[in-house]
Amino acid sequence: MNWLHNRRYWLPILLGVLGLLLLLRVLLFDGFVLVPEDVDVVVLVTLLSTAMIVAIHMLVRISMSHLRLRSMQHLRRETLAEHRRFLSRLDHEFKNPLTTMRAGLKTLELTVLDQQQHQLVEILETETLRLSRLVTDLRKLADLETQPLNLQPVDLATFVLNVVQLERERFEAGQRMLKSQVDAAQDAWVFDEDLLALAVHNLLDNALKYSRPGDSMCLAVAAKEELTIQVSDTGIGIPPSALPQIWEELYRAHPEEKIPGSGTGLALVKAIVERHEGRINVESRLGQGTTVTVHLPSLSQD
Amino acid sequence: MNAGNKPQILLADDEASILSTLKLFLELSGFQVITAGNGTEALDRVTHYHPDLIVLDVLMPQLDGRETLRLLRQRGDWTPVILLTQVAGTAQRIMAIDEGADDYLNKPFDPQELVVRMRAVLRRTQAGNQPLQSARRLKSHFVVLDRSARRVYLHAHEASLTPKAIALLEYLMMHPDELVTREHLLDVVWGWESGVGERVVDTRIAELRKTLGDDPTAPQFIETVPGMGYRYIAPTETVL
Repeated sequence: MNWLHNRRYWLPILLGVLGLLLLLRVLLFDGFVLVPEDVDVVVLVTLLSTAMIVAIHMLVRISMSHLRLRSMQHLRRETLAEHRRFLSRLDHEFKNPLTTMRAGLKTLELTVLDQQQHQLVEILETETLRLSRLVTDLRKLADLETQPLNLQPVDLATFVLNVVQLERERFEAGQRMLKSQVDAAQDAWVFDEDLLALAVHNLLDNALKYSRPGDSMCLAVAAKEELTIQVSDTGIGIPPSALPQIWEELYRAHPEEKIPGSGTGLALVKAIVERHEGRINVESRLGQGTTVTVHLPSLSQD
Repeated sequence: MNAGNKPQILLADDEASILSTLKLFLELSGFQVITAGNGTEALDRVTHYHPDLIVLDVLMPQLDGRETLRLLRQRGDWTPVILLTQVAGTAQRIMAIDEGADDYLNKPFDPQELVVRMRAVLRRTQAGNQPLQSARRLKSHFVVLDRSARRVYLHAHEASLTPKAIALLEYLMMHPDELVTREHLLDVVWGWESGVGERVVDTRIAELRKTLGDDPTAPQFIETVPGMGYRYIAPTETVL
């Protein structure tokens, strides 16, 4: 009875009920009415037709907004697909020139070079490598949209343990505290383990990059109706003006700080979460820290 | 082996700039290089020169790399081939048995890595070992990998492994005694590479070690090469 709670149905319902009451009175108590009955009939017809008109008007409006929403979603999907196609074409066109550049530079390295030339070749190599990485990351993003998911039940405690074990050394070296916590009503959840591990590693990577020694991070996993994976840190935070853009490719929230990275990490996380039909939220306070929460619905195995 | 002790390499790619730079680099790295601009030309050169190894680009006009490789194998030619792939994310297909390539590299690759792969392939084939890439079943010690059924048996009992772990084991078994970097494993088994993603390889290696009962400190199968990657140290043979 959802429609009963919807405020916009009240007016036609009220009018309709009034009309029906009048109709009942006309039929049952006709003889006792003091007012002339033609007035009754006029009021009755007016009320009923008003109710009808209002109801039809609302129905049309509701179905129109549904249609609009659908076409907007369709448009968004189209734009996204076009965007991915562009990325994959870009990658394709960059691959061969980059292969040539890397081979050429390595060849130069094998010839006799003086100190200065050697330095120059080294700088060019670093930059070419950076460009190669970027292109690979962009391709990975494009691939994610089409790559089949490997959906299997994954033991949550082991999953978290694996992630933490692989990260521990790096966090200790950077003097960051890494805590983890699993609160699961069920032991396993169905997802693509490698992809989700990549997403979590990327989130932890960001937490590490955008924090200072002494800061702490927490990876918390909870499974109830949905799976939530939360990565929180006490790091430098994200400026509010940057929040809407952090999921875009190549966007850097702190371009002035020389933090290494290509700006594809979070875009990749978002793509992975969306492939699992999930959602992702971020809350952040400048100077106090960031909390990213991933929500995944329960999916069925392949 | 051809004239002058230097291995002869056939390099096939439709990009002239890649051909000329890679040719120069490989020559300086101690190879003798002949080139081809497309698949048909490559097949002609093979009949003519009998190279020791072919480096084949996948995306070429007319006859592409995969088709060229197929035709080559069809006529019973088992010259080792390294495929330069263009499309990522196709691990299972990339390793397909009927494809019969000896190794793979994704463009843009590190030229040094190409040389490393080439030397490894040459070492393996020149030792007169059986070609592993066409085998349906591989065996080392008590481990049997059925490549077409995608199953692993330990002492004839089936082991439960994830598809990625099986693909990883397959690649390692087919490249015994070779140092393989995490980056390369990610490239050939997962189809993409990234600084962060490399940890995914470690997770799968851990899974393999646990299943095989391999102790990382005294490995019988998979050895960790600190700061470099992994090496499969068990001998691999083909079984019928």
